[in-house]
This record gives sequence, structure tokens and C-alpha cells, in this order.
Amino acid sequence: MRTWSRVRGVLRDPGGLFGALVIALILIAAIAGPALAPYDPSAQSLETRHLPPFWMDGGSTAHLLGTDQLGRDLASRVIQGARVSTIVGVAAVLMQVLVGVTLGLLAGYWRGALDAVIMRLADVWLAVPFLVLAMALAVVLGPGLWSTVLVLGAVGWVTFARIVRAQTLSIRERDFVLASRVAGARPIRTMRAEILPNVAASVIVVATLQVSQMIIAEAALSFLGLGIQPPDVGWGSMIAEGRDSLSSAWWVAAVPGAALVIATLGINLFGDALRDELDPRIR
Amino acid sequence: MALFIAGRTAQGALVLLAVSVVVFLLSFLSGDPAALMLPAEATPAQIAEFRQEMGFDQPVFVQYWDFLVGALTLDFGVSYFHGDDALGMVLERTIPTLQLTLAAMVVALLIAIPLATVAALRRGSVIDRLVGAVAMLGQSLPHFFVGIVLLIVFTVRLGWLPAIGSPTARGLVLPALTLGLYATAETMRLLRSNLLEVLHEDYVRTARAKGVSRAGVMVRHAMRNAVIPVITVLSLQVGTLLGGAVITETVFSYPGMGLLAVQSIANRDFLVIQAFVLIVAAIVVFLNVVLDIVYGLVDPRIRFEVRQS
Amino acid sequence: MAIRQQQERGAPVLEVRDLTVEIRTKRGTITPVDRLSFTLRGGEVLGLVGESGSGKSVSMMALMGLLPAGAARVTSGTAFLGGTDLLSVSPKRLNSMRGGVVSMVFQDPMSALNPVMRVGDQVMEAVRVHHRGLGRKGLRARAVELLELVGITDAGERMNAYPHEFSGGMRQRVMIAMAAANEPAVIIADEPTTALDVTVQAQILELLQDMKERIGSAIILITHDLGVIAEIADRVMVMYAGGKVEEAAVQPIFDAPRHPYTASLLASMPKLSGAVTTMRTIPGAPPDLLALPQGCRFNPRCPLADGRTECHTRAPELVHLDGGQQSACHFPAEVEKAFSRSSDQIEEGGERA
Repeated sequence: MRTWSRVRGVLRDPGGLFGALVIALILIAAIAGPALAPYDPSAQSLETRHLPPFWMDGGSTAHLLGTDQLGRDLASRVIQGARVSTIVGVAAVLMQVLVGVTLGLLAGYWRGALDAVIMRLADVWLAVPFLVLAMALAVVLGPGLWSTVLVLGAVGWVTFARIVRAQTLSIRERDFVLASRVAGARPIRTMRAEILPNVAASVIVVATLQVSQMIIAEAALSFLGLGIQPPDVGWGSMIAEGRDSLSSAWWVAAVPGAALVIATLGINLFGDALRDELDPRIR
Repeated sequence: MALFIAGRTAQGALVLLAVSVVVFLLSFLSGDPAALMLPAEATPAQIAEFRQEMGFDQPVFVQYWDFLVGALTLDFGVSYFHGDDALGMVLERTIPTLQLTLAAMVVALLIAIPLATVAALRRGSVIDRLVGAVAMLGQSLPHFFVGIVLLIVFTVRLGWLPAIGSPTARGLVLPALTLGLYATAETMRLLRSNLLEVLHEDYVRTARAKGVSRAGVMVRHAMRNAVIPVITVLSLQVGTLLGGAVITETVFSYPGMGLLAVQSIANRDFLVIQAFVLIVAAIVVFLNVVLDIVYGLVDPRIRFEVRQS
Repeated sequence: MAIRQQQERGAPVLEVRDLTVEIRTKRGTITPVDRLSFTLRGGEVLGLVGESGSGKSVSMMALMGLLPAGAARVTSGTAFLGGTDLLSVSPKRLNSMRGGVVSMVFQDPMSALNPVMRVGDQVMEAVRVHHRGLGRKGLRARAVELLELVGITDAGERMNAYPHEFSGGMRQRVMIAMAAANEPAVIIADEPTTALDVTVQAQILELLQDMKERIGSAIILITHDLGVIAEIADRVMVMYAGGKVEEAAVQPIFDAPRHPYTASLLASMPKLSGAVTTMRTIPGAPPDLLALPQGCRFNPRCPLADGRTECHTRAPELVHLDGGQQSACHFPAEVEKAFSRSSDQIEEGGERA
């Protein structure tokens, strides 16, 4: 009941509704991409290179969003790219949540030396800008879909650790937690049964917003040549490919760029609506 | 105050030391640092020779000690690809990157301060919502794509500005705009909520009761107090901007250390990347320490607390 | 200047008629101030008493034009101060009146002063906005004079201090210096002693009275502390649920209250009877402004209202009684009797316990 009324609350917000539609579209493209795509995304055709989108002079409805330098259908490639974005966004954030929530819970619950160590570790992570650390790690781990997930997961856990730690610090002093501790519940149980449900709302909201950040980060790494490698297709690497033909065929970069903007905007709007619904306290 | 400065400096130094450990350990993550640093076509004999030359056959802590001593004496070793001192190469490119970052910061503040002020003053109005929407859009834009769009419009279409960035007035416009927009949304959001908080303070009401006008209150009371959060915002954004600079420099081929790092990836020049990460971290930590101290100077309460303790 | 000349003792300075404030909340529109009328006379201290939520602060903020923008607004009424209606005057003109002819002292001197601005600058600002021509030297001299006037020693030196270097009482002195800076016709003091130590409270009250004598301002003193009223006020106005329920000179109020709410307030004052301190609170909770009772708003808590249809159906009008006393009760004559009896019972009960 409560879940359903919250879902309705999110969908009543215009931004939340738009976001939900965008997310649904991305998921459909990620799951059913090959069936939906009008062409094989890697099929090259030298006769139809640099075809503009259909609404421009020289464009054709056969290739709605035009083609790239190798004559590949951009619409099909954008649909294909949704899969990479989904996998990287979801998997990287899951990894961050797993690592970050665990460390945050431990630090906030036990405080003391463990807290100090974890938080100093967080300081170190924060001293190196996200992209710089991701870049260095990506160099070491090598490019590819799963190493990108690993890189982003390893770099981004700090956000969750800090939020969960701060909330745990205050929740652990509340009466119901004290009661559970006095009653002799084991720390692990207290953390799981009493504290975790209370930090869940913020974690869900932040995780949603973080997914869009990770999609952007993956695109950025791929743009630098450190992320997704062919034959995988990602929006970031598509933008990078389109860079070389900006003056003659700007749409090659603009089409995946637009997909990226719509996707992140949708997820952010959804996350904002979700925050208003679940956890109005956090900014 | 001296104690405060010393304490923060020591804290910063510790963080940097820890960063150096992480950066050092990075090269071991791949299993074989020698393979990481040599071109893919190197022969096993070359790799063995290189390993010995670099001391990779030594125990790890000996290697870290060498690395740390090197870092402290500003010697990261010689770039395998260029044959130059790795640190020197990065340092040479640091100034252009800092110029870009500074220009971007100015862009971000020039846009964020007036918009956040108007939004806070007219809370809930159409303007406020519009500013909120712009901030939301700004946070959703991958800024390398923004850079490319700017390139398409101002260089390819209009031909007003050069495609290659450089630390000159004309060459800085597009890169600074790209990087600045990247930091604008967050700056604007934080500033607006801070201003709103300040505007609800009792002393703002006192000022109004004295007969100070809305604008006067904003400038003389709210802003003065909101400067402190702006400092915090900036210290948070320094890292973001330096990270974003890597992308921006790549998009505009701007000759900064970010571009050098990206080129070094292609050249498998890991020593340069290590030096780059450490220098970026050093800049971030240094600026955070400085801003913390400035914070203490702006807010007499902090100064007072420090004096008391 | 026109206002200054009316400042003879006893002549009306501020005349408020039918002031109504509405606040829109998520659950509905409430009326925290409902058709409030009163007159403030030259040179007097008018005490404004009531529980929190009775509308005393909101009504004064409305007069100052300092209601939080957006949510609250004045829906009707006039408030003439020297020929100008504070409620309909242009925002710009009102701005020039604030701190000039009418000024305000707030409750919490800890937060009411800007923490990052020197005390002297804040006092100078109060002078400067109303005397644009004065140079920095003149401003400074005036600020030092004001600080000396409110009893701050080494005023010249203390000008450079920040608020956190002052004690609570000192900060309230600074607030009073700012309020008095332009010799206003009216000073509104909103619980000026509530946040202070008991020992400092008396000094601040004395200072307020002293300033009143010196510059001839009339003072509206908001408080929930009848002890403060007894000490400094000339007349008292009691508010309940947004409206005035009783008004009188101080002595009659304490001797013979004509509204059961006033009588309850008096009965709830801490009293020393022998070795035992008996403290009584008013039964029932302050009214919910979203669900006001039918008839008299005080009826759920009133000992007189039991079984009387009048109290539950008709809102009492303000009636003028002997000696200028006003009461909004259907049965003002019975108040005294009802309360002398019940307070006796309480005292007996207290001794038994």
C-alpha cells in the first residue's frame, strides 16, 4: 500500500513522470534492443556514410537519425548503447552501495578507531578528483565493460559511506536502537534490523541520482578511450567517434550526446521526485 | 590561529602521504608494473631489464620508500616515452590547467551568484523555478558533450573562436565556458539554499527592522554571511573542476596537464600519470587547507573559538 | 517631525483598527490576528500579554511590515502612526519609517545581531540608513554616544568587537541602542528579557524605561511574564487566539481581572505561600487555530462557560467597563468570584501535597 502510494506520488510530479518514462524507454532498449533496432548496429555501408537525420536536406527516413562515418545506423547504435549505460550505471552503483553502505554502517556504529580509518580513507579518495582517480585506475585495469564497472564502483563508494555513517551516528542513539542494544541484540542484527531500514530511503534516493552520474562518467571514460571498447557500443565512445567529423557531420556526435542528456536528465528528475516523496530532509 | 594553521597543514600532509601510497599501489594492481609501463611490443628480455632498472625486483616496501623519497624530492623518474623528467613534464603543464580552472571558477561564480541571489530573494516565484530547472539541466549535461556543442556552434558554424584551446584570452573562452558550466549548477544550488538559510536568520530581520532595504540586507548582511558557504562550495568544486579539466582539455586540445595525462595513457607512460594524480591531489589538498584558513579569517566566530582553545 | 510633536503624554501615537492577518498553511488558512484594535498613547508602556500563538508577535510583525513574505499577509485594517497608515503605505516609505519612527527590539540577542559584523558597524548602520548625509566620523560619534547611553563602558573600544564577544545582556543593550538610534515615536520590544538571566532582566527593563524617558518614545512590550508587566507597564492588553480579550491599566488588571483568561494567567503566576511554591498552569491547551471552538474561543478552558449556551454559540464583543477597562467576556462581573474561589482550593491542595 505504502509503496504504491509513493509510486503514485512520484508519478504525479511532472518531472517524476517524465523521468519514469525515460527510464522505461532505456530499460526497453537495453533488454529488447536487438529486436527493436532497424539495422544491425555494427553493419557498415560505405554508400550511406554520413547521412544526416531525416529532417535535414539529404536525410532519409530509412535512417531516421542518420549514419556515421562507416555508414552505421545511428538510431540502432543509440538503442544498442542503452545496454552499456544500463549495465554500467546499475552495476557500478550496486557495487558502490554494497561497499559504501557496509563501511558507513561499520564506521557509524562502532565509531572509534575503525571509524577513523574508514573516514581517513574517504579523505584520501576525496583528495583525488573522481575522474582523475577513475582514469588512473582504468589505465591499470585496462578498458572494457566490466573493468569500467569495477573502476566506477571502486571510486564512488565514498558518497554512500559518508551519508550512511552520518545517519547511523544519529540513529544509533535513538531510543529504539538503544532498546534493541540493551535487550542484547547482536550488533550485526541491530545494524541490519534497526539501522539499515532507516537509512534505506536516503540510500535509494542518492543511488538513483548516482546512476546518472555513473552513466556520464562511463561516457567520459569511453570518450577518453578508457571505457567501453568495440564491439561494445556506448554513447560516450560514439561521441568520441563523432568528434573527428564535427565540421562535416555534427550529428554523429550530437545524436548519442542527446541520448545521453535525455537519459541523465530523466534519471535526475526521477531521483528528485523520489527524494521529495521518500526523504524530504536531504537536499 | 597559528595552532589552527599548523594543525590543518599537518592533516593535509597526512592525506597526501596516504594518496601517495594509493598511487604507488596502483601500479601493482595490474600484476606487473613493468608490463604496464612498457610498450606492448616489448620483448621479455627488455621487460626483465626494465624491471631490474626500475627496482621492481625489490621488496614492496623498499620500492615504496624509493617512490616516496622520489616524490618528496620531486623526482618521479624519467618518462619512458619522452625521456624527460616525469614531474617536470607535468609541472610545466600545471600553470595552463590552473589558469583554465580559475577562469572556469570565475565563469561559474559570475553565473551562479546573480541567479542564486534572485532565486533566493524571489523564492517560489517563476524565476526561482526557472533557475531550479536550469540547475537541474546543468547537472544532467555531460560537459564533454557541452564542449562539443560549443565547438559546433562557435567554431564550426560561426567561426568566431579557435577550435584549439590555449591559455590566451580567445583560446580560453570556450574551454573556460565548458568547464565553468560544469560547476555552475552545483554552485548555484548550494548558494541558493545557503542564502535562503541566511535570509531566515534573526539578524536579517533585525536589519530590516532598522530600515535597511531588501537590496541592502542582501549585500551587507546575507552575502557577507553567504560568502562563507561560497568558500566551502569552491573548495568542494576545486576537485570537480580539476577532474573536469581532463575532459575539457581533451575536447579542446588545450595544452594542460590533463591533456598530457590522456596522451600518456595512449603512450603507456605510467610514471607521468602517477605524477599527474599526485600533483592534482596536492593542489586539491593545498587549496582545501588554504580555504579552511581563509574561512577562519572571514568568520570571526571560528577565529574566536581557536583563540579560546 | 510631525510625529515628534504629537508626543505629548497621553495623546494617541499609534492607532490600530481591525488588524487582520491570514496565514496560508497546508491544512488551511488560519487567522492568527483577528480584527485587533488598540491605541498606543504618548510616553506610555503598553504591555501585550498572551500565550505563544495568541497573535501578539504576529500582529507586531504585521505593523512593522516584517511578516514572512509569501505565506502571511495582512487582509484588513489600518494602523495610523503620525498620519501615515503603516499597513497601506508603499514598501519604500515603510522602509524609511522602520527604524526611524518605529523600531523593534527582539527576543534573542544572540541571534538578532549579525555574527560577522562588528557591533559598531551594526549600530552605525541603524543611524546611517536614516541619516544619509552624515559622514563616517559623525556616524561613529553618534554610535559611540548611543552605546554609552545604553550603559556600555569603553564604548569607543567596544565598537570594534564582534557580537560573540559580548554577554547576552550587553547584546540586548546594543539592540536597544539600535532601536533608539533615531529617537522613534514607538519602540516595539518583543520579549526583550525572555532569553536573559534573571539578574540581567531587571537591568534591561530599567534601561528600556530609562530610554523611554530620555527620548520620549512610547513602548509596546510583548511578554508572557506578568511580573515584567507589573514592573514596567502602564497599561495591559491581553490577547487570546488572535483577538484582544481584555485591556486595562495595570492596577485594575492585577486587582480585578474582568476576563477569565486574564484571571487564569494571574493564577498561574508563581506564588510564594509560606515555604511551598504553588504553580498553576491554565487547564487545557492553547487553541488550534485551524479548529477554533464555536462561540467564545476560550470556552473549552473557561470555568464560567460550563452549561452556558451563550458562551458556546455567540462570540463575545469587547465591552467597555468602569475605569476604561475592556473585556470580551459575556460575564465579566463573575470573573472575580469564580477565580478567588478556585485559587483558594488550589492553595489548599498545594499545602496538602
